[in-house]
Amino acid sequence: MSDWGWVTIAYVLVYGTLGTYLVSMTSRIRRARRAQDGR
Amino acid sequence: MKRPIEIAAAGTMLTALVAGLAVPPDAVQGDVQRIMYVHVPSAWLAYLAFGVTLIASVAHLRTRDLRWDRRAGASAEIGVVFTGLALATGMLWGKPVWGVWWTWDARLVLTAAMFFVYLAYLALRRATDDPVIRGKRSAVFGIVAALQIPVVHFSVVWWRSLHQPPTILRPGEPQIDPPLLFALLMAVTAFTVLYAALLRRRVELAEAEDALLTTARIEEPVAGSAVVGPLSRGEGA
Repeated sequence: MSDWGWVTIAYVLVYGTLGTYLVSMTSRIRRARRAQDGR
Repeated sequence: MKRPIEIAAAGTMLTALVAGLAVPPDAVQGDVQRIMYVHVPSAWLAYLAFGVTLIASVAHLRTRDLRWDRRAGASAEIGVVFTGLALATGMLWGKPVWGVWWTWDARLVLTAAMFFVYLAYLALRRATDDPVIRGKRSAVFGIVAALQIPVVHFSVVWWRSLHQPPTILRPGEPQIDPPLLFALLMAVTAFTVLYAALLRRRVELAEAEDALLTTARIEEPVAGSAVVGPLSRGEGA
């Protein structure tokens, strides 16, 4: 694989993981609040 | 709703991405060295996150305030994510440069050990629903676990290692060309701002989960009495 191939995989992995983590947390907060309101 | 810290995180992360891809390639390694701009900040942020867990754990033991416990737990989880990313990007950098994905080198092994120790910390936090017991146990664990942070960092100095020694946090001038140093510092800044945004969100989530748990515990006896009601009547007859 070329140098840029390795770089692309690393950047997609890091930016993708951190972005997904932030989005998933936001959705979990919403879900927890909805459950709290539903009680 | 987007907050200023999240907008700042998005902006700095984008700038760091552009800087990391636009600076000149390394004279020896070529373009593959650009992995450094995500690998090194991930490792540094893991240290920072676990350091915050240490401080929050001490504060929790001193004050018994559950807000410190939530901060400790939130920071540890983010630290585990960054450690995992540091390990993964290290492998992606190691394969083209060293010729292997993994080697039993002191830095690599100790970083992997740190990853598993903090996974155990997160597991310990889930071992009980009682926030007071959880806070006390995990604060002690968080303080003891932090002892390994300097060992991981200085492992490349204390033992002969395939991993390169510190480039910036070392005695004397940093051994890195200014444009590359700029891109690295930009990336570290961006990851730090992102860490602050993630920490805030994670603490918010911990608060929401704790509130839900408290409500469930308050409602539990009511639901329980409804279930055992007929049995109680039967017993009385």
